[in-house]
Amino acid sequence: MIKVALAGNPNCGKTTLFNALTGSTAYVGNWPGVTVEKRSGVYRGKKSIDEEIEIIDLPGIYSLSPFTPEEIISRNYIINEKPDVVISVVDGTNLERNLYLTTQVLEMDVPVIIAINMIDAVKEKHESIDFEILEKELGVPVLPVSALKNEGLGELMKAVAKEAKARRNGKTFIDMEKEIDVAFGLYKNEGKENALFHAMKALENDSLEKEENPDLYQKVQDSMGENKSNCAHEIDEKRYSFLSPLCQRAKASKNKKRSLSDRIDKVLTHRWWALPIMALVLFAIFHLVFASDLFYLNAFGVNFGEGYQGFIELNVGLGSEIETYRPFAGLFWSDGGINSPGEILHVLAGDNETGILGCACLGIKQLLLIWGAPEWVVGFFYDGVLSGVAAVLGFVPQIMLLFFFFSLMEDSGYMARISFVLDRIFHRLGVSGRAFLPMIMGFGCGVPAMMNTRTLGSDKERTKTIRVIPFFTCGAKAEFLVTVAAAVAGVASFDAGAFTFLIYLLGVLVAFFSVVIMSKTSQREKTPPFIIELPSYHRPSLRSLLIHVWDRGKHFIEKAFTIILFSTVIIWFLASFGWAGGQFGMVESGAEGSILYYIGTGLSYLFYPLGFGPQLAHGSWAFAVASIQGIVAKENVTASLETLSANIVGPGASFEDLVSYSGISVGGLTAFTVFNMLTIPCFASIGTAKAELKDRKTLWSTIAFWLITSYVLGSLTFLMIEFIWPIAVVVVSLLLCGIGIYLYDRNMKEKEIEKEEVY
Amino acid sequence: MKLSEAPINVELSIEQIKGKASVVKHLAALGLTKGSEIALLSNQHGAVVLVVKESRLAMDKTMSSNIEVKQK
Repeated sequence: MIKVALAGNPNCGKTTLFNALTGSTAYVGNWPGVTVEKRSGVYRGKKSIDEEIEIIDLPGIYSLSPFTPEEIISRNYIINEKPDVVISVVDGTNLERNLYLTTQVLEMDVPVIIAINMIDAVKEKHESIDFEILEKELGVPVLPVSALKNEGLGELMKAVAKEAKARRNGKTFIDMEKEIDVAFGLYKNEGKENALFHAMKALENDSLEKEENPDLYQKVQDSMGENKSNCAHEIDEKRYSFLSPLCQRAKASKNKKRSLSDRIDKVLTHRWWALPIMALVLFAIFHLVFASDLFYLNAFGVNFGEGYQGFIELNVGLGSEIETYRPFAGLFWSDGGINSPGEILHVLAGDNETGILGCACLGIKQLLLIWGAPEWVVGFFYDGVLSGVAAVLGFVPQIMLLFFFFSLMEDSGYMARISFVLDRIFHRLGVSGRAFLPMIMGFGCGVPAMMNTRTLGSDKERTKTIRVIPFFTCGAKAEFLVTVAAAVAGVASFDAGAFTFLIYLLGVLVAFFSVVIMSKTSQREKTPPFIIELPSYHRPSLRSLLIHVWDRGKHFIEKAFTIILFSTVIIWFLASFGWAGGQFGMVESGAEGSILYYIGTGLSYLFYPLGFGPQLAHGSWAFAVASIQGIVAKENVTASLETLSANIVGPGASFEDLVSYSGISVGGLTAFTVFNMLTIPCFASIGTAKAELKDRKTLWSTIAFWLITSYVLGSLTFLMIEFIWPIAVVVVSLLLCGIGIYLYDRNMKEKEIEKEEVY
Repeated sequence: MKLSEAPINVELSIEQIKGKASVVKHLAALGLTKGSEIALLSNQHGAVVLVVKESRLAMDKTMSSNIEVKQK
């Protein structure tokens, strides 16, 4: 088998080429220990080639110097894994800058083929490239391809098969013969492989080279004498002084006119317009994905009656216990307004009682009933297994639509502009502009938001962002918030809308303060310099969008069948079994006597400072159980509150009845809300955080951070609303904390400056 | 003058790049070295968008104030 590695700049169309070459056999894998993905696949159109060709897609890089983790991965891959051929993928519309990397690859002892990609775009710009000149000067095959239009791929692979049999020694184009000869000689005499490459890196004062071959590095440095620091810069300049004239000869007709892309940027990165336009675009996306009152027609007074009732009715049950379901009720519109496309997808997929999933789940239940399965078997499958899985799967189409829009922004090039526009604001908080997107996605769902943090620059930035994502109230929490707000309006005659808004605002404020505090204490780092390439705007291809969307959706589905399934089964067991009449056995779900009741009663003592513990007259355990269930999935909080209210107060009782029956105070109820909003969001997000954070220690401290923040803020909320006077104490302690952090920050800054000077 | 203070739509050439060696090398990989010809497309209080060779780069003020340029 021939191993071929694809190396090239970000955005040079490398992944498109990879997908075009490997087709649907593309395999996305996480290599252990690295955060960035390398992909491998097998070439599929092997007509005139006998041997199988394995293609490895290395991460996009600008050079082989170790500035980013991707660059280290790619460099080590070529040196250690020794591919048979390296294809240097070059964006034909940006020849000179792309060839900079190529000249570094050519210094390695490996056969190289240069693929000039995006040749279609070059032609569109009425330019042409003379491949013969490039081939003659660089000494390796140069082939035109268009990955997007599937042109030239067969020829490229034929060349690969031919070159794989050849050997090639590294060659440099830097005009510094004397120094290079000396350094090369030193490495060659030691019998080093890739001697020229290592020698060049030693001349460039490369930090990775210094670590790997300290003795030889030192010898090379000594050989340069006084010239040491100049040499490194000179090499960079000389790469371009070789490439500039070459590219001018090879590339005909360079029009200097401002492109359409630049004219669009005049508006989209404009001083004043940039932010409003961005807000509008994001608002439109969220509205199209999550709104259940499209264009606010209902809010403006359009009446929708009782809503769409669906086209089928299902009767489930046997004998006298028949229940009727309308799985597609409210599909297109409900009494609250027209659904957005995303919401239609959500209702269509449904949960265990509605939509397509509902039909399947109810069908299974009915079958079990007809076959005469015992009650616990029906309960186990329907309430235990299916309810959790269906609840998560029901969200998948909606989330994939959200990803579709985000991929659209990413592929078109707009995302890079957003990071740039917001960087100035976010810089002050201690994260770069790139952190904005995962944060705003948190309003939809935390799971995809956390996955999106992969695009961030450093581990610390990623940790900070993942930690605050749950503070942005997600869709599942919004549902719970509506329930509580109604109850608050009932007991304290406080406007429900205002309450909801204040809780949303609290979440955002907590997130921003947390980021600032972390940046000044545990997650200190010098904010990495922000520099980003702005790719030309272009129309994204549907194929690559779909690949992108499916890639993310798959992740989500895997979660539904692992962690969510497991946790719902456990909770179902705890709620359905217990001691009734002195005997262990099945009890009514979540009733007094169930194991969950005892656990809830025990845990309710913990919530004493939050005002919903044992001080309540009745049913404190229900609040504890709902909170614990919320850690599994926030959808559970509302569901279990409603069920438990009926169990405790009496048949038909709702959460509002439980609130007045239990005697919970307004402070306690607000604290209950604050706690559930800020605490561990759900099992699915713990699973995602585990995959995205760098190690177990960070994961545990993140979970602790969520618990402590929510517990402390919950307690303070209760105390401040209930007794008023603690407000004074809280204000003073906050001030003291602020001063403490400020002093700590100043102290650390001084130390850091000292360290830098020593270094 | 510093790039962060340079006017837009004017041809500039880079005189000197200051800063940590690794950052200077990264800038070189992006096409910015001594002598590179560039032009600014936008400058918002030092956060700039620039054209170098055939690509567009955006950088923050910390970065742009480390680059010395002169008008051609």
